[in-house]
Amino acid sequence: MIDNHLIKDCIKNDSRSQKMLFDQVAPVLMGVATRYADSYDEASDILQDAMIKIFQKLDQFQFNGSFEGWCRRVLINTALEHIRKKNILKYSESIEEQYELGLEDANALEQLNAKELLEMIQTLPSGYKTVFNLYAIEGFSHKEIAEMLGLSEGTSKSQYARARKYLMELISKNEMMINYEA
Amino acid sequence: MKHDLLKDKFQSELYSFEVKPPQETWQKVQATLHKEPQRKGIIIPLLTGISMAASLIYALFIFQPSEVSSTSTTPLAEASSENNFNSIKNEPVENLPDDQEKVYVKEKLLTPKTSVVEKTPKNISPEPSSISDFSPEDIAITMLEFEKLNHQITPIQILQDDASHNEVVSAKEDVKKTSFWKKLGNQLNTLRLDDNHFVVSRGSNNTTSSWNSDLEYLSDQTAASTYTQSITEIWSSDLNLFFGALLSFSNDWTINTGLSIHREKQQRMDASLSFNNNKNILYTGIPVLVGHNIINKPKFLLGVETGISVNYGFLTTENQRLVTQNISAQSNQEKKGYGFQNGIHLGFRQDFRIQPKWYITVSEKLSNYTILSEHPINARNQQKILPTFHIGLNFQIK
Repeated sequence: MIDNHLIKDCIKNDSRSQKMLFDQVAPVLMGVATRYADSYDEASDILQDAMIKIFQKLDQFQFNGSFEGWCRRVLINTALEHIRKKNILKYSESIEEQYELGLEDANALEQLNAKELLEMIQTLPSGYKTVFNLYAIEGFSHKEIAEMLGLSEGTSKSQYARARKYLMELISKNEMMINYEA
Repeated sequence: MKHDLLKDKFQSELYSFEVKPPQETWQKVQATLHKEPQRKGIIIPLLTGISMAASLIYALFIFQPSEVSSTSTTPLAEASSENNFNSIKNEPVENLPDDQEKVYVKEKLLTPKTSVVEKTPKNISPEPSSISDFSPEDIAITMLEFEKLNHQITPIQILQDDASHNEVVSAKEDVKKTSFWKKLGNQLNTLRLDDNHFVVSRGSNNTTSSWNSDLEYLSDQTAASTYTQSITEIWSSDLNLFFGALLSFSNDWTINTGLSIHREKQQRMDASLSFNNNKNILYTGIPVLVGHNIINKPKFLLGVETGISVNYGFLTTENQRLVTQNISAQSNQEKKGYGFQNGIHLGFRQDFRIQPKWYITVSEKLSNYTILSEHPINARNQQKILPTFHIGLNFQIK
């Protein structure tokens, strides 16, 4: 929980307070940026741009909601800007049938730690990855995602279904590798 | 509704997952956030240095203080007699800075009885390269332009007690019309008040700093003076530093330096220190003014100011009284004084500004006091600069 006094000091452009705030929010935001970016360097760039925006727009924070949530939203918007600049989002309109996890896959999924999950997400194609992050992890609805990315709700659902399928295949492969090594 | 195990797993593990950012990210963020002040930190010494150097050049090469700052206690008119003029006139040209505008100034000073407006272009063969040295934005500024920047510092003004004062008030502006002067007019403003009066103004300003250098020549008293003032924003727009210098043929000079602090662009405090060698008496004045802008809009300004100053030494000659916004007026006889200044400044930006002030100076022994009221008006008409008007209504009670 970020102290409101710290935020107010940052609004006054106090350098020491800005450093303290950075230290508190940057690790989580870097974690978010890493999910959207294709590389660590790109994630660093996204974080840097987002932190500058956060400090510059800090006086617009209303103090009636979660500051961390506000920062997260700024970072996500920044990440989406980066992705748009790269112009790599390609979406398919067809909605694919959603695969269900089998019992073995569910067990394999349960064994995976956060770092492994993050690495899996990073292997997703950019379009899948963005929608998956927004829907599965950030908790946006497909309608909201459609508005954010300028696509149809159906396309968002389709991208999520494909991402999900892709990840399940990865999990299955991962499970096979573990069994093979065992 | 089916439970999405995959979604739940990813969300629970990754929503708050932390990754250590690279060390340099903070440094880059900090550098961006504090880029402006850092840049200013480099510019300030340069600008102030340039300003002071310009003052010294004026002092050393144009005004020849070694010749004019004699120990003579003659009044202003005598000090700037024909002899003085001749001594300046005979100064080798090589000693002058090869700055076109200064040459022009020199020419004007040497031909006080001629119509400077008509003769000057012929006397000078303009070098186009000298014009190109000035950027388009590098325009001469008036005191109102200082106002626009919220600096609100009136440069040193010369207040004449005699008839020439009225002539200044009623003087007309006459900017050169030739192509050369037209081009140069944006940077160098030559005001012909009448045949024997003119002011040359040169200055520049941008969002962070400004400087102004004027030379004023008034032949009735055979007096000329110049000032250079630099205002530089340092650290932030709340804090400004200014330096000024005034040099005169009337064998005195004043160096004015100070600090101006703006708080949230409303309150303001000026503090300055001035040294004047007139009649070999060092003058010091440390006034502190606090002003408050009640209304501060782009086109209109209304505020009040009050302050106190502690002064020591003579500030005046018999014919001339120097008044700056930061130096309280003193009666001629006072060697020490405590000044109380109160004023209202009312400005219509772009057009003119009225700044009536009331000064009360009290002698050291409190045996007499002087109340002085002054009403300077800084006028400006589009790009044309008009002189600062000082409307009368000065009164003294002793």
